[in-house]
Amino acid sequence: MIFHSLDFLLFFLFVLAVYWQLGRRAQNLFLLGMSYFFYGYVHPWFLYLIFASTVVDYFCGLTIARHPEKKRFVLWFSIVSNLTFLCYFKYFGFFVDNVAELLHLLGLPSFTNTLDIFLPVGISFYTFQSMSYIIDVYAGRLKARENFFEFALFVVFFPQLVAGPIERAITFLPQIEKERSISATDVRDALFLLVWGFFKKLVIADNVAYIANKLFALEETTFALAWTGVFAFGVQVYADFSAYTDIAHASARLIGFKLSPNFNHPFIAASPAEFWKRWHISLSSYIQDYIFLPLYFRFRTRGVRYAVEKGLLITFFLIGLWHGAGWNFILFGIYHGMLVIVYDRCKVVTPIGIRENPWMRPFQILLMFSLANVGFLLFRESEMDYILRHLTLSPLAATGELQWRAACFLFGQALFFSLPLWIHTAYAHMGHRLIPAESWFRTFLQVMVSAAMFLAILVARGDSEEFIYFQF
Amino acid sequence: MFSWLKARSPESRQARSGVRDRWGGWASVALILAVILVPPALIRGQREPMRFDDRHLRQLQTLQPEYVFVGSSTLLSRIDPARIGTLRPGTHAYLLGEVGSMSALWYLWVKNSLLPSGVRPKVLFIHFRDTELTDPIDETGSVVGQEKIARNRVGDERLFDRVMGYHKGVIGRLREGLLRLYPIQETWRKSGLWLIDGIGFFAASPEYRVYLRKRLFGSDPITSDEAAEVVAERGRFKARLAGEIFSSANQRVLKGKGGLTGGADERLDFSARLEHAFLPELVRLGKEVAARVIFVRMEPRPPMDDSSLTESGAMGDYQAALRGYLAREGVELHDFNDERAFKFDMYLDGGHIKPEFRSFYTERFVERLSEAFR
Repeated sequence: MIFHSLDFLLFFLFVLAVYWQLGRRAQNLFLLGMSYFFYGYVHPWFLYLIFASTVVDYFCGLTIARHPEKKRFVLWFSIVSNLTFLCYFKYFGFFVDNVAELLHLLGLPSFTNTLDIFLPVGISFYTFQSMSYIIDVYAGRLKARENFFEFALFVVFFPQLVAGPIERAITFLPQIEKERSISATDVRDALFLLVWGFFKKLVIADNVAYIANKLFALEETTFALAWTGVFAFGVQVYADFSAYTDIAHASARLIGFKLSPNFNHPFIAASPAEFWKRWHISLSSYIQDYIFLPLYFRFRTRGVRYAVEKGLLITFFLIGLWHGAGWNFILFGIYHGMLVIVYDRCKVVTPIGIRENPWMRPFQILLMFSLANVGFLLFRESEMDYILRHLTLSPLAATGELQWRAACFLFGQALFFSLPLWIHTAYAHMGHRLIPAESWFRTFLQVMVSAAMFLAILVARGDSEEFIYFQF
Repeated sequence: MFSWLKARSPESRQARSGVRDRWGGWASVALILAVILVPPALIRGQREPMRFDDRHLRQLQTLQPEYVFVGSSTLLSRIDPARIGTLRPGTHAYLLGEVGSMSALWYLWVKNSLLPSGVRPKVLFIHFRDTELTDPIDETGSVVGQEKIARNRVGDERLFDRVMGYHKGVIGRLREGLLRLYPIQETWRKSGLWLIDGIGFFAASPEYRVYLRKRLFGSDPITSDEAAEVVAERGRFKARLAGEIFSSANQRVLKGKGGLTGGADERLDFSARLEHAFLPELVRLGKEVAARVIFVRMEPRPPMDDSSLTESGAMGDYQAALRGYLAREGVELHDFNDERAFKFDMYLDGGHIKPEFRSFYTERFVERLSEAFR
């Protein structure tokens, strides 16, 4: 079930109507049932997978608690079984394709991949979430849970099930286990967030998607047209994914839960490291805690720099692979890993007067935004020939008058649609100084902006596409 | 037995009932909701009164055509009635078609326009794509679609309401309700698109920027010629964009990616869908009104290399079941999916033929079904 559908609206109104009439334990059971309904709404067989994953991790958690001497074996059993599900559904087809291609290149008898494995929505998100539980139980940071239903609710909690944020058991399970309440302030904040989320999805993301799709589909292109397409896609992917996160946050808040942050205005990051502290925060912090740090401590004996850089390359490779089974995603990960390493090395040789100078920050942001766009190209374009074509287009090459005007036309539209994102970022950084958080004027402003956004959703929404991150 | 389900902690009860926020608690939430949701509902726009539109009926009576074609915009883009008149001198063809129509409207046209007109054509052609004969809802769910239905129904349409009610379901009814509540979304959408185009054009055209500056800040009034020239230039620019940069010849052949949706499509279950379709009535009425009824399945645009399209197994089964049903009912089916004369470049998009190839398409159609045009 997708958020921007009437099905979800009806579903969620029903959930709200019943949920707040129940006590905590019944609320949890009800939410569990509703979450399974939400997930199995289109393809009921998805439920077998998520249920299997839940059962495995629940019993592994209990086994670790009851038989500490076997905990290492159980941890690996859980990780291997989770990754087996993930790898089969997400990467097996990719692997088979590449083996066939390699055999063909070597002149050996090859084959055609006729496997068409259907990717269950959100499998990467709930697999990671479920694994965080086992790792934390193994590390002694979290007690294994006895109550199966509460653990199952943690895995399948519908607001963030299909596209995150990736919740940690250590922060989310306690919320399931305690009484929840709701206040008018919660509802008010959730309403604003809902309208903002739907606006970002339906007005910004879906409209710029049209521009990006058109430009990425061109056979012959120019520098200006190609990079207008990349810019439009960058805006799309941010608006789309952060919209999902906002709607997830708002929905969770309306049922008394608080989710982890996932975005913090990534387009004003001044360095790759800062970008990843602002972009898909729940994934980058997960990877940092569960993969990078263990790797760092493993490699540290060979020097700090070696450990950091090797750890970074491996973790960013995995971030790329997590996003999808394709060489472009792997390149996306490695590219960002290299950026972090190169920036880190440059930092050492750049005088602090330049590095920390506030006047330099706009230039640093502009540079990082441009570099992030190269990353978005790798993210969007799955064919290597076309990636290479984009990267080798010269801005100095002669461009026809029509091509130039077309690029201006589409860039103007993409920029126009992205304006609310920039205004929101500027407001988040400066608005608090101008308008106090608890003032009536701020509430008035929020209401007026929400009303305008609702009107825009009605009259200027694009042709609705699925959320991009559903495929991961 | 289930008392524990109702057990609530004192804190949660307090949190639910005892909240009084600084801005008036729950009253502020209601007020905020009202400010966001109510104003757009008050903008009603211009709505025409819904009366039966007898345009088709009158034109049929005037023309007395030998060949009547029923279908949507895909039919309108393919068949040129004037060309049929020149290919078969002395005969007339009439297109009973509208953009965005599906079998729900086709049924109403045949029942309320063709049948009462008294016209008895030699052949009634019903053009459809894939599952449209058993899938009556598409744009019929929009305000425009609802208006089309309202203009083509006559009095009590029990069968129509029963079939449509089945397909709409709860969600469809809610969507209709929302469209009635917020008609602004249909009436303002064109203005929104015009504005967005204007913003792009502002960035692309220095002349337009000069014109706007003059219009907004200039002391001399804008002449109607200047305004008309700007509108014309905007149209020319968009036509060049579509015809040169985004022409079909400049489109990449995109490699297929694993889709996010799949599995069995219930729309392809012909026998289950037939019970809730207008097809049986279309067949019955068609046989009553015309000497011969021919269903024509229209082809989609072929791939860029003009190779043949492969059909999924489920679609193949659906088409076989449709063919069997129509054969039992004694009507014909012609499937143009195997037609090789229509090339990729002849199509405007996935379903429509470019205007300059309409005549060619008509000729090929008449040639292929020459026996029906004797």
